[in-house]
Amino acid sequence: MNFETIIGIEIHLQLKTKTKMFSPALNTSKAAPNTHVHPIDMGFPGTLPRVNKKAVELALIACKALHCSIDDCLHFDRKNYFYADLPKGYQITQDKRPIGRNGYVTIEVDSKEKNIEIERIHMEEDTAKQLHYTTFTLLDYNRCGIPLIEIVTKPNIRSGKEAAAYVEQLRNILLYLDVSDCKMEEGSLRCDVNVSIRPYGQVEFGTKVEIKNLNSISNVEKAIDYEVKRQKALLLRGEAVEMETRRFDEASKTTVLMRKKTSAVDYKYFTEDNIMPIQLDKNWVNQVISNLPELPHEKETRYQKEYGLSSYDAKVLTSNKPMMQYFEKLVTYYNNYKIMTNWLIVEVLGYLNKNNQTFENMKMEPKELAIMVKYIDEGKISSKQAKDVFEHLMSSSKTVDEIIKELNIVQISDDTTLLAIINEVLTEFSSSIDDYFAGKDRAFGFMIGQIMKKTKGQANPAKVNQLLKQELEKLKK
Amino acid sequence: MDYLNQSLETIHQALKDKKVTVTELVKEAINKAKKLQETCNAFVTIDEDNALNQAKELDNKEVTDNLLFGIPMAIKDNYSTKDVLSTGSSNILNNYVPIFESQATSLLKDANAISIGKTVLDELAMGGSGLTGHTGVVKNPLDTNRLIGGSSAGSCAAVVAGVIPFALGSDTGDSVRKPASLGGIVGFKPTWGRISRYGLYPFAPSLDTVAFFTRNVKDSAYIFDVLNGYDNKDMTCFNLEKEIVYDSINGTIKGKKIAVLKEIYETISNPEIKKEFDEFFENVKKQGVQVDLISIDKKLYDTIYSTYMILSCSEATSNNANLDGINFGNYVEANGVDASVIATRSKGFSELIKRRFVIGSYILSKENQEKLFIKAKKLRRLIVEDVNRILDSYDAIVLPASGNVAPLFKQGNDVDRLSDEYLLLENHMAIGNFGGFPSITIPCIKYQGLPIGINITGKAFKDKDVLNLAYGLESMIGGKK
Amino acid sequence: MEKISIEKLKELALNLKFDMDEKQYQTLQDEFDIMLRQMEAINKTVDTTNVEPMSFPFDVCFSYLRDDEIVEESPRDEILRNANKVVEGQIQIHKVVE
Repeated sequence: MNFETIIGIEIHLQLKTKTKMFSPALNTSKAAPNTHVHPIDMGFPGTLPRVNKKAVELALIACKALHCSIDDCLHFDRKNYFYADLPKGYQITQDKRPIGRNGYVTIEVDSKEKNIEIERIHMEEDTAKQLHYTTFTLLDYNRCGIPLIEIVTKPNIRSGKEAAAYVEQLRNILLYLDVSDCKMEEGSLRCDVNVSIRPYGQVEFGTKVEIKNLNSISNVEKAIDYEVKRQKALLLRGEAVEMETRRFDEASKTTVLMRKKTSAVDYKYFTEDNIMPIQLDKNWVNQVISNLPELPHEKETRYQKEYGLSSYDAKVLTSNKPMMQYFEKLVTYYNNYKIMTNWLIVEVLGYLNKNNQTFENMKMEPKELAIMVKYIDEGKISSKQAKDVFEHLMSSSKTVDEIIKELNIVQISDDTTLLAIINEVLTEFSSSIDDYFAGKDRAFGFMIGQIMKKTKGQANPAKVNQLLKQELEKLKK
Repeated sequence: MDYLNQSLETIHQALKDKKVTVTELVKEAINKAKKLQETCNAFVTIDEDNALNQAKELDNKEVTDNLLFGIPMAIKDNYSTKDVLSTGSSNILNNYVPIFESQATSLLKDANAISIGKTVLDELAMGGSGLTGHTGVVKNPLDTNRLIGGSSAGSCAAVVAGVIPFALGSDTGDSVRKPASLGGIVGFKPTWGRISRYGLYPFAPSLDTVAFFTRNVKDSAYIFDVLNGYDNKDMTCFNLEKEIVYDSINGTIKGKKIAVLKEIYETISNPEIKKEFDEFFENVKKQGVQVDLISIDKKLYDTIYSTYMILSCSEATSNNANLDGINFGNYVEANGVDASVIATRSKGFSELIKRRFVIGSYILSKENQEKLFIKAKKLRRLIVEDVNRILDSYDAIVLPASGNVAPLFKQGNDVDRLSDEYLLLENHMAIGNFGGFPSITIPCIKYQGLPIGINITGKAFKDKDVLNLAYGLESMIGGKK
Repeated sequence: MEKISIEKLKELALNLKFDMDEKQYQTLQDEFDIMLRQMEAINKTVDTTNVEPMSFPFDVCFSYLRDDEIVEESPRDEILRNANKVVEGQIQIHKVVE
């Protein structure tokens, strides 16, 4: 029997604000426990929520970037449940009127584009952090109240690969727009996946299983692939898939049962009566969403058009925000875009990977890389010399000029000097001239080698090439 | 001379004239509070040391023109007061000492009023009897065999007994206006959203209003002036300019039009009481006020009580879900977190509260929301629209604040809660909360020596007009000085 | 409306994280009876078709949003001073089983 896989994804994203969603305490994940807490975050009686403007702004940006229609009148609701990490006994969220609806994200899988439909984006608040020990649990309220948006897709994802592509694309977009840090491993982007399968042709959905604890994009794919296999096996054995929550187990690369879902929990959603509906100023909303920076896929197209890059190069450049930012500085200094891109994608990335560095802490200034490429083009340094210069640029904060001087790199490009040496070689190795005319290609290379030897590698190779050919032509006559 | 049962202006003048010092006032208030505590149990906390320290400080300063300078006050124990126990009269909070001050109390303290203590309420403000506070029953100072009503029971009793000239309460259904009626004092609930609720323990936020007791209407106007105004800590507080009404109310009522809702008014079952009120309205007419007995859609108004119960219980269920003992309150250790939270809440809440919570939870559950909760919200709209329609042609709706004098304790709970008198007459003031209307109760008639108040409700944001009308009627009735 | 069962009431109570004794559940059951009758009366008598539910006293929208600029926090010892048990700046509770 053939099965169709149905996947829906819920993503919780911590917003990059200065303060929390409903309180003026600092929004930070790196601090001693309970040092960034306002009485509001503790649910102390009488405290009231105060909606953070920046959080709304970032939510609007996310809505726009994910092509959602925006509800410019904010309504908040309560989701009521008891849990140790939820001090108020309810979470303030948006149930009936999410800020965004009906959007999509375009992904590319196996060279085919597909729109993953987004059902809704709503604003809410994070819970306190629980640290579980063997016999007790500790509570840290720094995280409590950090602004979140939840992005919910429609169930129109069909494979683990699509799911991974969706999460990656979403992360890329929101990272670009500075909406969030989007760090899965640190929990600023949290991904819950609903998976079900059904025989092809069946209209009803199968029983869905929720997978939590997915801390990387590759795990999203692995978890789904495993889960689909597991569900298929169950159905083929004539057993039923049960409604449950599972988590991905890193070690065994399988999904493991967390809890059965007995019946749907009733969260008793109702209006948050401590916040009046808030009508957003239309001009402000327009201002926020019309000044969005260029998105990765838009950049990709522009790079190809404007800089003549290949689609592959454009994609690589835009898949990494710091690299993209580096590139955009680079192009302001020099115009050999293709060569500069090559340096970035091949040499720089390679170096960073090898040395465990990132673009953020990289020493080489864009300007210097541009100058270096320009010097190569001008024949001031050879490509081989450039490799040395590059290593120094990456490991020190010096300029290209300083390094050239320090390494005593000079290139002989002067015609008279070079011609003298060429003619010396031609005299010494006259047999090679005959070989050359006899059609032996190696003879030419040999002569170049001898010239380089005599100049200790400082001859401008292009120049030598050109002049040697010119001299040989003369001899032919 | 006893200053504490005088008007703010009289006490203020005495302070200015150095006839009395702030310390003397505060000492006197504390003595009276202690005495009242023995007879009526009005206080959860009498904050003697703090109050006397503040008094001393103020005595070193020049008396300003601000009428609240050095005036002792009491605060309902459901306001968060920094470093002072704030129990909400519930066992679950019997050890809770807040780390922040409510907006209302800080405005009063900024005006140099001095809190002498925190007063008993019906547990978490859910109740109208004054019987359910965790420290015991509050009695009516006018007759200790009777209840004072609630939920702002202790604050009311303290003003009635002349312990302090004013006290802070809160009003969700009639929690200030009903006890004011039974105690023979003034209780004012301003327009919803005019005073910040920050730091007031929420019962049902869409109905909750900061409200207060005073001995006369002008004092209420003054407290209103101090408390009203925008506060960005409360996202239900209107961004309107602060209103100052004290100097501009003069009690001119001639030419005003008031509506008496016939179907409610006529449910008064005691003919003598009815007669007293009839006389009152006759007198009002003599003042040149147009008094119209107007007919309402009784079926709609019959739903006030149920609508109120549905809305308030539901909101309360959720608002009190923070009381689990984990980060504050009276945690009861048991075997596991869940068991501990259950033990905490089982021991922490009285039975009455639990019953209301269960009702609220039932109403909010998915299968009942539409049929009960949403239905009640629709009824709320119909009622509010109807009242607004009436207020389009009248300056105010005026009705008895209760149908009888303060009940005896032994009467207990044997009211017929399906009777018209109960459903309409004893609960109509919730209208003020449904529509956020400014609504005031002032002493009106006496029956067997005990007071019953009259309630005046006007259009939203017309607090000044309501106070002015109340002031005029008070003068006519012969209000307390 | 049919009488609500004690079991259902217990379930509702436990959902709210408290329990009551048998007698109290019975009182609650009686109270529910009155409540439900009152509510039923509501449903029968007043037509609310096409009426918008009213959540707040006024049908207005606000426009204020809090600027994400000023940071305001309370010191940790204040934040934690009302907690039952504090260990190393954190509130300790029994192990939460996920």
